[in-house]
Amino acid sequence: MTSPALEFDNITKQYRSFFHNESVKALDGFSLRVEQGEIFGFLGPNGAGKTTAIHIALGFMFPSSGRGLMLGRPFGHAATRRRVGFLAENVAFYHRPAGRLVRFYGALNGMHGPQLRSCTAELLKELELSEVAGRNASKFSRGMLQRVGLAQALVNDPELLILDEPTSALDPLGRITVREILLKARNAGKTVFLSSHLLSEVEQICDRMAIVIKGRVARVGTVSELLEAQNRFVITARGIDELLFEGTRQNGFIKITVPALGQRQAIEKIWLAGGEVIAVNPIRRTLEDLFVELAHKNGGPHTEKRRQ
Amino acid sequence: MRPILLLAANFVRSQWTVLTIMLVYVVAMLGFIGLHEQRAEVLFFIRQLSFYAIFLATMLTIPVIQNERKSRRILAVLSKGIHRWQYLAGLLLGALLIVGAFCLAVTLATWWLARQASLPTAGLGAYMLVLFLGCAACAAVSLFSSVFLHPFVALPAAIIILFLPLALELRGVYPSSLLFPVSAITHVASDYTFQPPGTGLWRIGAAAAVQVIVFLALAAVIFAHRDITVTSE
Ligand SMILES: Nc1ncnc2c1ncn2[C@@H]1O[C@H](COP(=O)(O)OP(=O)(O)O)[C@@H](O)[C@H]1O
Ligand SMILES: [Mg+2]
Repeated sequence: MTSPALEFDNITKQYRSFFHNESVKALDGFSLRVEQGEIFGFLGPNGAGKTTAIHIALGFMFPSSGRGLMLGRPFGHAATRRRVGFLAENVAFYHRPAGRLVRFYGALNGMHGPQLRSCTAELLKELELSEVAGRNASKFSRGMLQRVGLAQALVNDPELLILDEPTSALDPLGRITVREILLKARNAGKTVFLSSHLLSEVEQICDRMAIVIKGRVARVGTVSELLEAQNRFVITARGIDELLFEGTRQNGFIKITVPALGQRQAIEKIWLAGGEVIAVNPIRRTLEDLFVELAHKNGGPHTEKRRQ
Repeated sequence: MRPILLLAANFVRSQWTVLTIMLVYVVAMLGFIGLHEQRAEVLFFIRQLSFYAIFLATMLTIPVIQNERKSRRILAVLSKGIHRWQYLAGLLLGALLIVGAFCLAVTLATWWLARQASLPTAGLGAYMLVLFLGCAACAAVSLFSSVFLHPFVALPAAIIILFLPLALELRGVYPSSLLFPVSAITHVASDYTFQPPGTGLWRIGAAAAVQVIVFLALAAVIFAHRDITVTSE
């Protein structure tokens, strides 16, 4: 069995505020395993602790308790970070031309010479930054900065790519570009760890995902495992009276919600009434539903603040 | 070594306006004093600019870490395969390149002025070298205090570490200049008269160099255990 790309083992992180004598538990018994070669979605509402977990993995912060491994080495191991690419949330750069910035970050990872130059040029092209490569990044929009951020994260051809809300400022075309890049990375055997609070971003490409609520992993699984409540279905039909079936009318179709066991019976009833069945679909919860449901289960508001 | 050089060059680039302003100031002063070419004015020139060098070294390094953390630029840098001590060494080296360029400009300008005024210049190079070492000590101590203190607190802390004897002397206490080389250098600077360097000067210079190494090492040890993220909101 190969070692996981990322492993958080019962990590707790408490932020202490010096002046207010108040502490916030951003992570609380947080455990998670990300396997190599998967695109892993890391979902949770704002303030759930996603950024905190990522920063601990990269060694920017130290956990109050617990341990973890990144590519088989303890968090914070400098040489291991050479094999990792990271894009921060609200990324910020020095006031230098975009192309030079990407080369600078590549060089910090030990790259040099023609290899660095060609990797940079290729990535800038892929991210549609070639034309602005000579322009100072301080004049860039947030979306452009995010592209530069992706380029610097990818320049060393990392085995593990950690992205903290990478598409929050991108337009739809930018999102498609990112999706393609991530799928390409996965097909090349890389691991992608993608944090987001947007389901639409995650569900299209992720193999598995975890939902974090208040510093704990509330659920882990494939997208369909987490979102499909498999015991209920929606039958879409037409040519029947919606009142008889307790359905709702939408765009000329009748939608009827039934439990899994009542599916066959309902379809036969529609046919007997001379109606036509157009589709039968499992009910999908939205991520919002799931967040609300999980948050209720875990009780109380997002973060716990307490006086010491 | 390469990451340190890259980070130093990057720091110099980010501070080039400061360096330019300082160099323009040297040239402007040079033009002004060059008109008079009198001993007192040449001495005023080098004494004043010596204090500016010390001020520059301190002010460049006190806010840099806080700025990098607040702007979140530190994240992309430290996400690379570099050690935190290399990051600190890069900042220190960058600051020293700027201060070094300033000291070099001051040396050349003073040398030219001294020749115009027919003053001896034999001790100038040694003095400027020791001054530069003192600036390096200022930068290292400032960096040290700013890795764990907010700049508002780090500045007074650095001033105490560097200049405590100046306050104690008022009460008749004279601590060893080897423990406080920068205070000793400020004395030398304020009394500077182109005298040839004695062994005392070299010992102060050596003490400053030791201070650089000690405080960089202390800064690295403390910084290695600090959380570098600050809240973005
Ligand atoms: N540096 C910090 N100091 C104090 N509290 C923090 C800090 N960073 C994050 N927090 C708090 O920790 C919690 C988790 O934050 P974060 O990890 O940024 O969540 P997410 O990325 O999921 O939005 C929030 O309540 C946030 O306010
Ligand atoms: Mg976040």
